Amino acid sequence: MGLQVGQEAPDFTLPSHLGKDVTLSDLRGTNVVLAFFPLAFTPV
Amino acid sequence: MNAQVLGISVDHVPALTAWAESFGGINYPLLSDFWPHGKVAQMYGVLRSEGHSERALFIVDSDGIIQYIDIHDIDDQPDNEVLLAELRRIDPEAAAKEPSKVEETKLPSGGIVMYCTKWCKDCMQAREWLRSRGLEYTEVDIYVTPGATKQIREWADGPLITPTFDIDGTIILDFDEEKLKEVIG
Repeated sequence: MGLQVGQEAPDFTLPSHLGKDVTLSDLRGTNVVLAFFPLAFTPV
Repeated sequence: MNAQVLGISVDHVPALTAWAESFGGINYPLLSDFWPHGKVAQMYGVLRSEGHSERALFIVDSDGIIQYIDIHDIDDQPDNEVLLAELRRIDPEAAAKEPSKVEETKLPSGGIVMYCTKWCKDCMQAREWLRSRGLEYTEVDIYVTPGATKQIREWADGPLITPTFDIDGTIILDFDEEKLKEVIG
């Protein structure tokens, strides 16, 4: 485990609260901020 | 700032929706890493043994390469200023183009106007559909255009649906090929 700066970000597809799936690799060409947070109803 | 924020947690979608609604909506997608439980958090090495993720930020650049990793103490809030500074460092060109302040702009009208996001698959399909027919259209990125989310929520009577089309005043919700053909002719 343990990703490092300079590595390729692992790709994923997840459902979103807006009802559509989001795939990381669809966003090539844009900087992406992945913000992991523990649980809903806690600050993002 | 030329960056798309994605929030990720192990909650299921209804919990995220309810949470977002409690703020009156969140301007970026919240993703549900619910099933297989915490799989993405695990891939990124931020799944805790209790089954939820750390509070962590990863900046992925436009080529898909990780440029910044910050794993916080679970009780700490990430610092937005630090994040913005990192984004400026990674993409100084975009930072230079960053508007100094957001101005209220009038939303475009007339012809085909498509309200969409960078990340939604239906928006990508709709874009392709319009292009393949050689149709001219105006694109409104709802997350960078002030007032756009409010406008499309009004049209949809609440939910945020992308893409939404305004074709000379006729509103079409979602990428509905039949309706588009009907209206465009």
